[in-house]
Amino acid sequence: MQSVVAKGKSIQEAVQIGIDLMEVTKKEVNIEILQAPSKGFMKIGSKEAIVRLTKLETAVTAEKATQVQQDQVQMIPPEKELHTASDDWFSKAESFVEELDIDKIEIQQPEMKKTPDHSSEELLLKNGSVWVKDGKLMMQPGTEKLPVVSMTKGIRLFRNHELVEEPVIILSPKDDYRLEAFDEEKETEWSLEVTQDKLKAFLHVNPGYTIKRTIDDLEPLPQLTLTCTEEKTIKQTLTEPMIKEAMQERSILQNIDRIELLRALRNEEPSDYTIARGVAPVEGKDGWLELKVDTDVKEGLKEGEHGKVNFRETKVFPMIDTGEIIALVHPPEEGSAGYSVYSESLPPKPVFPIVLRLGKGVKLIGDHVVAKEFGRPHIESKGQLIKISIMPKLLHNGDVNLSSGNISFLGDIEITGEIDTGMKVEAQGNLVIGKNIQGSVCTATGSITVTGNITASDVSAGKNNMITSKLAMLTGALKQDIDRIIAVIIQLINSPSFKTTDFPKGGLQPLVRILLEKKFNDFIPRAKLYVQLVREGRAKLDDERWKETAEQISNLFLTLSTKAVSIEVFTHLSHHLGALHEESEMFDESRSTIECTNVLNSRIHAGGDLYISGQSCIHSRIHSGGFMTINGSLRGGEAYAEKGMYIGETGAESGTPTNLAVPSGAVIKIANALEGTILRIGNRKIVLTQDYSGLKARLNAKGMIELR
Amino acid sequence: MLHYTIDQTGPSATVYFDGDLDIDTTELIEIELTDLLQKFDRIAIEFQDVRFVDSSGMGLLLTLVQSLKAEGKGVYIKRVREDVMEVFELLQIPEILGRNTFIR
Repeated sequence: MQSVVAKGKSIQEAVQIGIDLMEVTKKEVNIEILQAPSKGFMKIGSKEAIVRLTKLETAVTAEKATQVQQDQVQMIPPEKELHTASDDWFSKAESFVEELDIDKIEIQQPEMKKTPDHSSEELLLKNGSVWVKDGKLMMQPGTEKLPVVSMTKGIRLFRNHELVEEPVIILSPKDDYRLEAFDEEKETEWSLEVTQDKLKAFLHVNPGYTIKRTIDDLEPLPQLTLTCTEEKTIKQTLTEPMIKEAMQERSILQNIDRIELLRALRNEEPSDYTIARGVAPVEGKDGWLELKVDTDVKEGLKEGEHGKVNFRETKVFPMIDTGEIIALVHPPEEGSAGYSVYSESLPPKPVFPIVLRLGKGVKLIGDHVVAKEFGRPHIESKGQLIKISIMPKLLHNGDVNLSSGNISFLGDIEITGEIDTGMKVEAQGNLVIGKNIQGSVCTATGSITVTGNITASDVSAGKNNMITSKLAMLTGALKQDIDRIIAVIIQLINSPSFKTTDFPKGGLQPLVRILLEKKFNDFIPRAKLYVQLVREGRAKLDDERWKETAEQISNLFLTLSTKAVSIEVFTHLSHHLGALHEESEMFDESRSTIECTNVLNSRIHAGGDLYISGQSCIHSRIHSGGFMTINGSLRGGEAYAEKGMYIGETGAESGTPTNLAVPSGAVIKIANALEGTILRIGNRKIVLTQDYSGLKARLNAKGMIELR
Repeated sequence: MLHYTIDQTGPSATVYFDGDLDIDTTELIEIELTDLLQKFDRIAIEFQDVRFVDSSGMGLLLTLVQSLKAEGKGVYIKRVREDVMEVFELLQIPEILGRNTFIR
């Protein structure tokens, strides 16, 4: 046996075993230490020392000499070494022996691969290894690779006493490495916060801690990730006096939850604690009006199973008698105050009484609103402003023709007969017509109900017919102008070069005259129109303030009065105009509905819903501010409905264009739509190219018309 | 009280105002000055020494300038103090009389 690899607990033991095996003495062999046990090298698999013993023979010795020479040549320039990249004594010795006993290696190698220990050992030989022992980093370069170490949090690596920052470090045998674990300490973080409504004070606590780290010992590996053992100790430095001081600073003195506070001091996890609470105020209730009578028009119309409506169940208008109590006025109820964490009082939201504006035919007795006349109660409201009046009713038995004359009435009108060609009916309320309308103009601010047909007429219901709505637009503009005039006057008075010496004598008129000349040159025409409209509509205006403001405007701006005027007169006028404007905006157009049987060659405008119950609506322009329902067919003309429409049949075989339009969010439903019907939804338009039954048209998510 | 002096060169005249243009100048402007200035074709009114105005005074100035201009005369208002101009601007007097009436 020329060569033997032996194992033992120590090198000596391994060598002894090898010598015994070869039956030689120590002097006769060349001893090569493959693995040293003392450096923990043997921790993988067996922890023994490995040595290779090679028998020294004369022939071999000669050969060895040349080999040594060769080796020496290789040693001089280590970088240019032919065999391996490694330049340590260990691998050189190995390669030397391997070359020495070429035929023996073949025997040896299967022997070495017998145990996995040997193969992993070999891997370590090839790739190098790194390990940790007693907190120290040890390494052995491989024949082909250098060992690599990955850093971890809490450990620092020093290369030649310099801190290395990279997370992954390739170890070089030329350098000196040192590991150091560092401890961590964090202070307790805490803050005191109060919610925006001042009802809760939060203590936010993130307890502090210390972390002690020790570097773990690790087995040799070509690539090693360092680990350390952490020992975390919670260090709560927050104390009760500290919190109390902070609370005192923020003046949180009362309503403190002590249990929660103690919990905050004891807990080891970051958390929030509500340590003080206030009490929310109890909100009060605004004043309100309790209605004692029915004021809503009863909707008799209900859609049946097939979308059909029984037109005989028409609307019922509530009527009340003289002396009847219409409503009760309830005063506002004050709420109760709460308090904040700062112990300051939190008042409830202020409450407001209702502002009652009594119109025609009503009287306030105590807190009761009582009817002075027979008629229909009419109530409008906006916020806390409520307007109540009694609409008187005019009953006209028979037809409206040349012998009866036109009818105009401030209240409801009921006509039992027909309305003849060329006649005009105007109601500042609801209008009911028992028979047909032909070639005439009918307007109402409320609803219009026609039992018969509408032919070649103009019928409109809603705000547009109200004289007050025209005036309301003007009051808005006039108020704005007057407010601006007031602002300019105030600015002038504050100018250093402006003298107010003539105000006691001439008042503001000379100034206003200059202002109206250019700066507010469109005020005069507007004021003139307002005065004229009020004069014309005198009979239809039930509020005295219209006339009062018109007179004032006329005196101040349209005539050359010499009476000195102060700025208060202007502010007073502005206030009145503002109130009138606001009140006239209150009108609810949804009640301005129109119902009739058939329509032919007419124009219909309904502020609210429109309902045509009969067989047809032909060549007409119809408009609804609400939902439009036509049971029969719509042939020719235009139809627009703000909230969508249902039509029995649309289009004409003759090809007369039939236009339907709704805004983008609304739906058009047609039971039977003929080819050529034009649908417009929002700003999209489509012409039907075929007949549809049960058509439902709407805009889809992409904004295109979808037919179903 | 408002004082004035007229400096004339041929058909042109420069009127120097000194004092406040207010309600007390009514007579002076409406009667005296309107007549005096009839014989000139070009009139410049120097405002350098006018420190205060009131609404009546401004009304008078507007009437004076507008009536002279209506007769085809060239009328210019010169060197209006900043404070006074502020008041004029608030009332848009430059717009009423024409921006080119005012010369700095």
